[in-house]
Amino acid sequence: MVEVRKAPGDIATVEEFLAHALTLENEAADGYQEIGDSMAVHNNPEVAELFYKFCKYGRMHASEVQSLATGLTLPHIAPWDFAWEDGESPETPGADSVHYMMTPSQALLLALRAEQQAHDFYATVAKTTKVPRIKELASEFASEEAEHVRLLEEWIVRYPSAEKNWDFDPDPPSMPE
Amino acid sequence: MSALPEQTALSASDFKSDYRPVWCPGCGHYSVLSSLTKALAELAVRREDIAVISGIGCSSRIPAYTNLYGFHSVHGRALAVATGLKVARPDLLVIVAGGDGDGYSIGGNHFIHACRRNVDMTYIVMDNQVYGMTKGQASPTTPADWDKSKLTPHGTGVSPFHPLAVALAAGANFIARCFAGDPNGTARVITEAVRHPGFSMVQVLSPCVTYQPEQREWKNTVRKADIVTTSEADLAARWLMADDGLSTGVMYKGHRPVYRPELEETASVADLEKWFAV
Amino acid sequence: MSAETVSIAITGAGGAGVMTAAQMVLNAAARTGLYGLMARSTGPQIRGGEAAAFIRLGAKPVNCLDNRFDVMVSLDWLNVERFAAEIPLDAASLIVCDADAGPPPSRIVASGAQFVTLPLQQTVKSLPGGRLNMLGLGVLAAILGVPDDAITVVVEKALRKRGQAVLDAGLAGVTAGRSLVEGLDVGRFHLQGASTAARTDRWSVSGNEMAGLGAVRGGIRFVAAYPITPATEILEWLAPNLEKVGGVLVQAEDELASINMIIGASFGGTPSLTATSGPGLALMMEAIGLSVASETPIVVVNVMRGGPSTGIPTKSEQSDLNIALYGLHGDAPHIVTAANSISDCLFTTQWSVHLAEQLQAPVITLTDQSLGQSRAVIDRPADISFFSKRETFAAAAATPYQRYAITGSGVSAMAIPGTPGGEYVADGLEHSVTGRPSSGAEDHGEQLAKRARKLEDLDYGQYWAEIEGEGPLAVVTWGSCAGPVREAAELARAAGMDLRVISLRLLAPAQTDRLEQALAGVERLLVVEQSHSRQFYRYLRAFYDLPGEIRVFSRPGPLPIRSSEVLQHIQSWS
Repeated sequence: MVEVRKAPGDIATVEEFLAHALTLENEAADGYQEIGDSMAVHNNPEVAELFYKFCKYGRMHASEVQSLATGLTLPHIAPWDFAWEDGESPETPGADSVHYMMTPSQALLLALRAEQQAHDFYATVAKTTKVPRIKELASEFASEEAEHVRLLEEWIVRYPSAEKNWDFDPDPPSMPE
Repeated sequence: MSALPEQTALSASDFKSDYRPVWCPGCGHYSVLSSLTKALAELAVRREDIAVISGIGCSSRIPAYTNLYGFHSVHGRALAVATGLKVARPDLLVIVAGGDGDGYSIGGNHFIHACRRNVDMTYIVMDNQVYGMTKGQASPTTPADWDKSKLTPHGTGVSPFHPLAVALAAGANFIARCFAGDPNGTARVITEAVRHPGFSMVQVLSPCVTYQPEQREWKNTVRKADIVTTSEADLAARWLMADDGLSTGVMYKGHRPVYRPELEETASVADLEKWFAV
Repeated sequence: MSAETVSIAITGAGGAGVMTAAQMVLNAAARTGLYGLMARSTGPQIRGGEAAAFIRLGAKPVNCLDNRFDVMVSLDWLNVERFAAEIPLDAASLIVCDADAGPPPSRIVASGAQFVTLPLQQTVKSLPGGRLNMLGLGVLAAILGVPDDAITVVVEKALRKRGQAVLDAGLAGVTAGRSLVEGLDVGRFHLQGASTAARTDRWSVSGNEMAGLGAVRGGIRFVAAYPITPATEILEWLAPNLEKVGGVLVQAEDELASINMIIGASFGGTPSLTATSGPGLALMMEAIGLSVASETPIVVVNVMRGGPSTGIPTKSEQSDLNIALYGLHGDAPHIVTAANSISDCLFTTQWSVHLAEQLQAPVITLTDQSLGQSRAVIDRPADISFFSKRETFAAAAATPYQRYAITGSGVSAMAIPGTPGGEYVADGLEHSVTGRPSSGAEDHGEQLAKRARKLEDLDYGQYWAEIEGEGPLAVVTWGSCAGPVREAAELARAAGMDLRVISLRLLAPAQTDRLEQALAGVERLLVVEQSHSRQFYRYLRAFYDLPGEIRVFSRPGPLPIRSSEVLQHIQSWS
C-alpha cells in the first residue's frame, strides 16, 4: 500500500499548523492520562502521579495553542492526514514501552523522548516551511519543547536509575475471568 | 445511523468512557481502543447509534471502555450477538471486537459463517497469538513451536490458523491487517472497513507484553504491505498465502452480496391467520 | 367406537402418500363440522420409509388419540410391524388391505380384527395416473360416510396446483375407491354429528404452527434457528410469515449462534425467539444464562423428543423438563412454561413472549413432538391481547441512567440502542447497577436478589395452570399428557366419580401457594407424565407440599400415554 504523507514543511497555513500543534498537545496529554490510569490500576501510584503531571502540562500547552487560535477556524484533519513524520503525533508517549513496575526515572525518560520528538517536529517545520508566520510560531514552539527537554533532564537526575531486576515479580499473573 | 451535523462533531475522546482498562500497561489494545474511537470520530455517527459487541477475553473488555451501547457477551459468540443485532436493527453501526482465541477457536464456526453471511458490520480482532486472560495458553494463531505455556510444554505442534485467508475463502467482503503500533493507520483502515458494505475483517497485530513479550519486536518487523488493494479474490488469496503475516494494509475489497433482509410489513397478523381456516 | 369418536390408522411405505391422504380425511371431516386430531409416526428414512397416520374424528373437540382403532387402512404390509404397538386393534376393528400385499403380519392377525381384502393395486393399475393413496382416500370416505362434496373440495384444494390431469386422476381414484367398498357393511363407522352445511370457521393446525402464530401474535419479529426434528415446522411456518409482518428469520450456523443472535436482536429492542429440541437446547444453555445475567428477554420454544443424546428424534417424550428447569449454571432464575394441548401452543407461546418482555428474562417454552407435529381441527382461537410491554428508558433524565438499577419490582428500564443518554454495556459478568463488571459481594447479592425477585413477585394470574373438577382425587399432569388425562377424567365423571385435573402451564417459578390451594382437601393424588425417571413427580416433590397418598403413572416415549391407562389408574384406586 503506497501512502503519500505530507511533510512537515508542506503545512500550508497558520490554521493548519495550529491544528497540528493542538492535536500534538492533546494527544500527548491523552497518552499521559491513559498511561497514568494504567499505572494507577496496576498499583504503581508514584509513576501514575508523574504521568498525570505530564498530562496536566500537556493540557496547559494545548490551551495555550487554543488561545493562539482565537478567531481562527482550524481545519478538520483526519488522524492519518497529519504531516507527522512517522504517522503518529510526535509527542505521544510510546505506550508500547511502558511496564506496570516501571520506575519514575523510566517514566521521565519516556517523557523526555516524547518532548524531544515534539521539538524535532517543530524544528523541522521551522527549518523547511516557506510561510514566515508558521516559521515564527514553529521556532517559538521548538524552543519551548527544548526547554521542556532541559527541565526533564534536570528532573531525571533527582531520581536513581532503575535497579537491576527492577521488573522482578515473584507472583504469577492472575486469572481474572 | 444518522450522521452528525458538523457543529456537534465529536472527538475521539468523546467516545471513551471514564472506566479505566484492566489491560496491562504496554498492551497493544490501548492503541486499538484509540484507533477505534478516532475512526468513530471521523465517521461522525451519533454515539447512541453505535454498538460495540464482544465476547470474552482481554480485548473483549473493550465495549466498557467506550461510552457507547455495547454487549460483553459470552466466550466466542460476539459475532452471533452482533449478527442478530444488525439484522434486526440495520440502522445501527455495529462493531464487533475480540481476540484470536475468542474469534478463531471457540467462535470459529461463527467466524466462518459471519464471513459467509456478509452482514454489514466490522470485526476487529486484536490478535496477540495467546490467551491472556487465562494466563498465557496457545491460541489458534500461536506458532506451532511456542513452548512457553504449561498446557503445551512441547509447543502446540499444530499449524497456526490463517484468519485472513479463511475470511477471504469464507466470503468476507473487506480484508485488512493492521498493527497496534500504528494507531492512525489502524484508525484509517477501521474507517474504511466501516464504510465498505458487508462484513469487514480487520486483524490487528496487538502485542501481549505479558505472555508474548517478544511481540514488542513487532515494531521493527511489521511493515506496510507492498500491494494495491484488489477486488479479485484469487489475487488476494495468492498474496495472503505468500505473506508472512506481518504485512499490514487492505488486501481485499469485494463486491460480494450483502445479507440485508428487508423489514417491511406487508400483511397483518389477521391476514396470516386466514391460512389456518379449513 | 368410544366416546362418540372414530379412529383410523393409515399405514404404508413411503411414496404411498399416507400423510397426504390422512390430511385430506381430516380436512374433509372438518368441513362437515367435525373436530379431529391427526398424529403421525414415521421411520428414520428421509424418503421411502414406512409411515403411519393416526386420525381420530368426533363431534366434540378431540384432545388425544383413542385407546384403540376402529379402522386400519393398510396400503401395504412393509415394515408395518414397527408400528404395531402404536395401533391397538381388537375384534371390533376393521382392517382394509390389498389383495396383492401378501399375508398380514401375525401380530395384526392376532388382534382378531375383521379383514377386508380389496384389489387396491390392481385397481390403481387400471386407472391412468392412478395413485394408491387417493384410492385409499375413497375407501375411507365410503367407510366413514364422508359426503362427496367435502372430499372433492379438499382434493381440489390440494391437487389443483399440480394441474388438471393430476386432479382428475385423484378424483377418479377417490371414486374408484368408493365403489370398491360398495356392498360392505360399514355403517357402524359412519361419522356421527356431521352437519350438511359446509363449515369454514374451523382451523386446521399443528402445535408447531400454533407456536409460530403465538410468537407472531406476541410480537416476535426476529427469529434465528437451526433446523432440528421435531421443531423445524415452527421455523418453516415462521420464515415466510414473519417476513410479511416486517420481521425476519435467520437460519443460523448452529444453536449456539441461534440463541446468541436472538439475544443480540433483543438487545436491539426487537422481541426475539428461537425454537429447538433437546440437543439444541443443551447447546443453548450457556447463552440462556447470559440472557438471565444481562436481563435480555428471549423465548426458547423447545419441542421435546425422546432423549438423551440424539435419542428418538421423531417421537414424543416429556424428558427435557429437568434441563429446562435446572440446566443453567449459577443461580439463574428463568421462566419455564408448557403448552398443554395443540391449540394451547398458541396461547402458551404468546404468553411466554409477554412474560419474557415484561420480566426481561428468558422463557423456555416446552411442547413436544406429539403436540408439535400432530394436526388438529379446532375452533378459531380467541384473540388474546397482552398489553404490557418491555419497560424501556425513554430519554436522558436528570439522574444518570442505571441499566440495572435496584427497583421494587426487580425490573429496571432497558435502554434501546438509538436512545441518547441510555448508552450502557450489557454484560454476562456480574455487574453493578450501571452494568460495570463487579466481583463485589454487595453487587452480586443485590443483582441476584433483583433477578430472582422480579420473577417471584409477579402475579401470573389464572394462567399458571388449567384446573377442572372437584373431589378428593386429583390428577396432576402437564404438557401433552393433559389430553389423555382430561379424557380419562371425563369418562370417570361419566361413571359417577368426582375428581380434579390440574395441568400446570407455569413450571418455573413454582406457584407453591396456588397449587397448595388447588389441592386443598385432596386425599389421593395421581401424577401422570411421559418420562422414565419421573422428572415431573420429582419436580413436584421438590417445590410443593403434596397432600395425601401419591401414585405416579409414568412411562417414557415413544408410546403415548392413553386415556384408558389413566382411567385404569384412577378406577383401580377408588
